This record gives sequence, C-alpha cells and structure tokens, in this order.
Amino acid sequence: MSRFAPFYDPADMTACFPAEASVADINARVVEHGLFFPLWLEESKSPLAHIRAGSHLPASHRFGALADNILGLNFRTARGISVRLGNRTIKNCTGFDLAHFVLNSRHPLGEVTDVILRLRALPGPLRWFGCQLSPDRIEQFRRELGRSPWWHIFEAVEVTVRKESLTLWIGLRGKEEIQIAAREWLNSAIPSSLPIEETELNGMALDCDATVKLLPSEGVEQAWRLVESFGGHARLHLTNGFFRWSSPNAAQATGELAALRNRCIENGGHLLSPHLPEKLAADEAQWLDRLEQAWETIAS
Amino acid sequence: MASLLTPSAVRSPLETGLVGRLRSLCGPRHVLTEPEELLAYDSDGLTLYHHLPDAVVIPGSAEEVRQVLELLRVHHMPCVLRGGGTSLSGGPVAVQGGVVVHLSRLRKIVRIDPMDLYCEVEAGVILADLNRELARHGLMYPPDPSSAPSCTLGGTVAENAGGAHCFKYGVTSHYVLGLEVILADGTPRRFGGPAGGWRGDLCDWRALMVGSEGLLGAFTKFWLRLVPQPGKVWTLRCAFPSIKAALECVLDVVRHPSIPAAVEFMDSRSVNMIEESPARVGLRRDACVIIVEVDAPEVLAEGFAREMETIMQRHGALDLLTTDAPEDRARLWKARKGAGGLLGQISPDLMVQDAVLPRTRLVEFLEAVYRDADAVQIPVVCFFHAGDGNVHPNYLFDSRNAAELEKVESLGARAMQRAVDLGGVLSGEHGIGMDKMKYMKMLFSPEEMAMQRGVTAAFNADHRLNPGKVLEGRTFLSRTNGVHA
Repeated sequence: MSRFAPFYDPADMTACFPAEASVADINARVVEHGLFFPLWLEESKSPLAHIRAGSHLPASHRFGALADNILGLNFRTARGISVRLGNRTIKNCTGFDLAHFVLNSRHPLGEVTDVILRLRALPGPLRWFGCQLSPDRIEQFRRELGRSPWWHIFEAVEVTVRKESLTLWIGLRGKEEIQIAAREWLNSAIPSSLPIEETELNGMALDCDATVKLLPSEGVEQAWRLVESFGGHARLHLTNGFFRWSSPNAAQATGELAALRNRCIENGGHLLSPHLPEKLAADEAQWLDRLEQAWETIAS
Repeated sequence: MASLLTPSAVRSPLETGLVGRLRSLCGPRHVLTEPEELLAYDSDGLTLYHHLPDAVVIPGSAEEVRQVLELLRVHHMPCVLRGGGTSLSGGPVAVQGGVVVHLSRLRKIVRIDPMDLYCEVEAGVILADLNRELARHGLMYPPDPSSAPSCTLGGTVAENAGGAHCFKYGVTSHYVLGLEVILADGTPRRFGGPAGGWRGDLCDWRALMVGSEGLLGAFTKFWLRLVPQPGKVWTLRCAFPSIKAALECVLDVVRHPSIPAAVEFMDSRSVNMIEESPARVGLRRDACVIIVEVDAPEVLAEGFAREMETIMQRHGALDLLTTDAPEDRARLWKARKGAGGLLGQISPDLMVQDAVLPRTRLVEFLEAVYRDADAVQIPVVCFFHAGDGNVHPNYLFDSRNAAELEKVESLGARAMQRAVDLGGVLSGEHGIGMDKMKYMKMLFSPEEMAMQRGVTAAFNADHRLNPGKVLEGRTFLSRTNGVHA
C-alpha cells in the first residue's frame, strides 16, 4: 500500500488536497501565495464532484480540461487497496496513465481519496464582458476567435441560453491595460452596436438534465433547440461545444435527447443524462473484466 | 550495447509462408527481409539497444494494418510498431525479433477543419509536415519534440510527446480528441473523435492508449485539437553565474500571468559546447543560460516581454537579450534543439535521461548528477525544459569500453533513484521502452505495478505486441518456443 502524503508547495505551484475539499476551500488556502486552482467551477463543490458529474472535460478555455489539471491521485481500489496514480509533476509518461483513466471513467473502479492539483499564478479577479447576441452572431464570433491570438488570453468564453435571450460572456483576468486591449478587440470582433457590459457570472451548476459534448460549431444551435422546445436554460463553453441543460420539462425530452446523443456519438462526443440509461458495450465489459481480474489479484 | 534482457533469447523464427502472405498483402516492395534492409530498424534514436527484426512490413492503409496484425496473430509472431524511429527509450526495437510494422505510409492529412479547430490525420504523418499545413490556416498543433522534422504523429501519441512549449500549451494527451487503433487481436476500434468526448464509452480507454508505447495496439488515425497561432513572439535569453541563480529565476518566470510559452535551461557545459561549434550563437561562456519565450497578441506581447526582463534582472541576469526578430529566435532554437546532435559529434555514445521533478528540487538533483558523474570521470551535460521540471542529463561515453558502460549504467540508475526520492518520475516525454524498464519498481509499489500489468492483461495478455518493453517480465512465449502464454 502506498499513498502521497498531503503537501502544499507554493513555489512549485502544486498541492495535494483531500478529494472532498471544495474549490472555495482550495482557493482560500492558496490565495495567500498568489495562486489559484484556475478552473472556473462551482466553488462550493470539490474538483472530484465536478468530475463525477461529468463536467470535467472542458472546464476552462485557457487552462484546459479539469482532469488535465489534476496531476495525481491517492486511489482506493474496489478491494480496498490504497495506491498512488500519476504524480506531482506537470509532465509524466511513466507507464500507463491510470490516473486519468480512473478519473474520467464513469464505471466505478474505486475511490479517489486525494487529488494533486496544478496551481497557477493568480493575476487578479475574474472580470466578465457580456452582451446579448443572436445564435448566428455568436457563431460568427466563435469563428473570429478561432483565428485570433486572443484565443490564448481569455479565461472563459461562455454562453447562457434562455428562451428570451442568448448572452455571450467573456471572462478575463489581468491588469488594466490587458482589460482595455481586450475590450478593444472584442468591440472589433463582435459586429454589433450592442453594449458590452461588465458583470458577475457564477460557475456552471452541476445539477442538470443533460451534459452534452458536441463539435463546437453545433453547440449553440443544439443548446438553443433544447431550450426552445423544452424550456429551462443551458450554459455552454463556446469554444469546445460543451453544455449543460436543465429544465423542469426534461422528462418529456427523452426522444430528443436520445436523437441528440446519437448525433454526439457519431462525432466522438457524448450526451449524459439521468433520463437516458447507459450501458457498457460488450468490448468494454470484456476489457474491464480482464482489468479488474488483474487488479483483484493485488488483494490476494 | 548488448541487451541483458531475457526476451532477446526467446525469438520466434519466421514461419514458412508468412513473408509470402505479407508480400501479397502489402506488395513485395513493402516487406523487407534482407539483413542490410533490416539494419535500419535494429535501433531507435537512443542507439543503445540493437536487435534485428526478422522482417519489416510497411502497410499502406489502415485496412492493411488490420490484416497484417491479424496475420501476425495467426502466425504467433511478435509485432513491434514503429513510426519515425526517433524515440529515445528503445521503444520500437525488436528485442524478441519478429516483425516490425512500420506505419510511415499512413501519411494522409485527411482533413483540417478551421471552423471546429481539429484535424483528422493518419498515424504516419510527420509532425513538422502537419504544422506546415496548419500554418496556412493560421493554426498550430502545439506538442513540439525536437524530433518534429522526422517523428510521426503515431510515435508522438505512443510516447505522449511534449517538447519545449508544453509548459503553456500542454502535452500530446491534451490534444488527442480521438483515435483509431487496431488492437492486438486485429480488431479496429475508435475512441473519441473530432468532438473529443467519450463516444458512448463508460471508461476513458483513450487515456490508456495515449502513451502506451506500442503495447496496446497500432494507431492508424487521430483527431487532434488545434489552436490559433499565438500572435507575436518575443524571445529572451540571459545568463547566470550559477545553476541555483538560473533556476531560482525560473521559479519566478513561470509565475508570470502571461504564462511563458517555453522556459529552457542550458548548463555551462552545454553552452561552452555550443559556442565551440559552428552553431555558436554568442552565448556567454562558462555561464548557465535560460531561454524564455513569451507569446501574445501584438498589443500585449512586448509589455509581457519587458516584465519578464525585469524578473530576470531582479535575479541578477547577465548578458540579457530580448528580441522579437524571427532570425534571432530561429538561431537560438537551432542552438538549443541542436545541442543533442552536437553531443553525437563529440562522443561515440550518449545516454540521455528524462526525469521530471518538482521545479523546487531541480538544483538539488542537478548538483548530485554532476557530483556523481565527475567522481567517476564521465562527462555529463544538461539542457532541458526547466519550466516543466523535465531534466535531460546526457552522459557521454564509449560503449566499447566496458568499464565506461558500467559506470554510465550505474549513474543512470542513481539519477533515476534520486529523481524518485525527490518526488519526481522516470520520464516526461521519452517513455520507458527498454531503457527505463528496470527502474519502474523505484517508482511504483508492487500493487501499483500490478495495476499497470492489468492494462496489458486487458489488451495484450500474451505480450505479442512490443514484448520486452515498459514492464519487466513481458516476454512473448510463442508456440514455436514450446510454450504459449
């Protein structure tokens, strides 16, 4: 049995936290050293809760997937054996990447007990620029951003979808001159006379009726279609086609969700919903059986 | 170097008829069996391990790869997958003989999608060729190992390659949206796809496939995430009187909110070596040098570079150069990336290690590396990706001298043990291959090793794919050896 001891190394910008520590607790601990866990998440929940809710794929436009910012784990196998998976280094290709395999898998393989996080320098509070746009205009903006070096500067590029409106939100940290330059570029890139406002935006809530991963160009249209047909609201990471949808009428949408799931799968995406059961494919079941048999020998 | 691994003795001679079937499948020109043809496949970029395969087959399509793997399964032949052969861990070496499946003919860039920012590419595409095509669209695929001009995408995915710019942009696994693989039993399987999700799977098998070093299947196609080019690039180069001063500066540089794209370190020995060569670029001799690259939209980039200058000056930087001239940048990178090649010119043999450590432990690690090597009079030179904590000690020696060989093996083992003791890992981008297999138990507990073995039990239980690599004891026992695993 082995496990990573808890540690916090501000100079190395890494830390090991219990898996249940919330994002808010983590950030409160590291802010005194000018650091933060950079992913824009529902702060009251733990990184692991986000992963379990399937929200970890694209968490931040700038810093990538949540799981890519988790470097290592303490993990308890189904037979109760404690092991370390991954490590605390920001690069690692030593053997198979079991850390991300167990983190990203929805089939229960064991329990994550601690997570080692890659922290980042905190350049200041997150500020939001937002404006209401049509779906076409939002898609036009996405394409413009996809050709621009500003792609690498913004921390979050989000869309909130409601029946009455779609709002594009750009999240950015940094000094005043960066904010000014960013606003100038946004004003030129968004072909609209609509005002750009500054406001607050919370992280994407975890409870939802569907978590959807599509091609980026399909995201706005499909989120809009669900909201238009079944009400509720959706939140979309614009640059990677990931959105979460909630609606009191979701139970009536199973046919639509099943069709959308097929469309997602066709392009290598996915749709997860409490309203649609999932089942293990035959080949997956076979690989898992062999894997788990091998892992079971550890205990004996 | 003669291998001490037991699998080398467990060869599986070519069965009658297999070569003919491979030739009728892929064409006679694409099946090599003559010793002088096979010689090109007896080693990889590390050049420490030499094992001739019995044959090399170069399939021209994913379907041919599938049929080749199926044939090799039926004939109980070990199968080693190979891309550009530039790996630095002995990964694509046929330690048990058998057939090398060379994937270099799968070189189509099927699709570049600037709207959805992905490309669909075959596994044999050369990394630099892909980036040349992407540049026409204002896009890039960031992983950039030094072997980019000749390594294949299949190889970079198999090794989870990094390179100089992954401190900011991440490593290969962060960019693989999906892949197609022919599994050991000849079954084609797709994981993920252009949308980069789970495609109906409940487990993230893709995470196991990336970095699997040819143990789980033959990659035929990838969907890779692309990003826009970063805009204006500024390059800073400065010298420090000591390793400690240089690496303390690195600790502050990596905290800059622009996120430096690259943070590279060269020790005074490598600086002197470069300056004594035709590739000299005016580095300050007898000093350690760091190269930092900052990229951003033009309106921001110079400001970021000036702030970086201030950080370096605060740490006592000597000989500071800040430039946005592409030709200066190109010369600096040529010197940095060419340093490995220079070593090959001054030493008959080279052993390069690839540890990753917490950045805060790099000084302690390097001091020990120099102390140990100097004590046994083996020259060691270090240049590496300091932002990532990814250290490459290069030991220079002559493998014809048994005593030197023994010293270098001992130094390598001590360096790896020290890296693990300081909280590091055995490889950041070269993989384990044959070279670091013996060190795996330094890092992993018996339980963790068993979990690693579980992955091969699921996909390649008889170890026919790339035997003798990554995990000790992975020997393929074919029916011609009398025992079948």
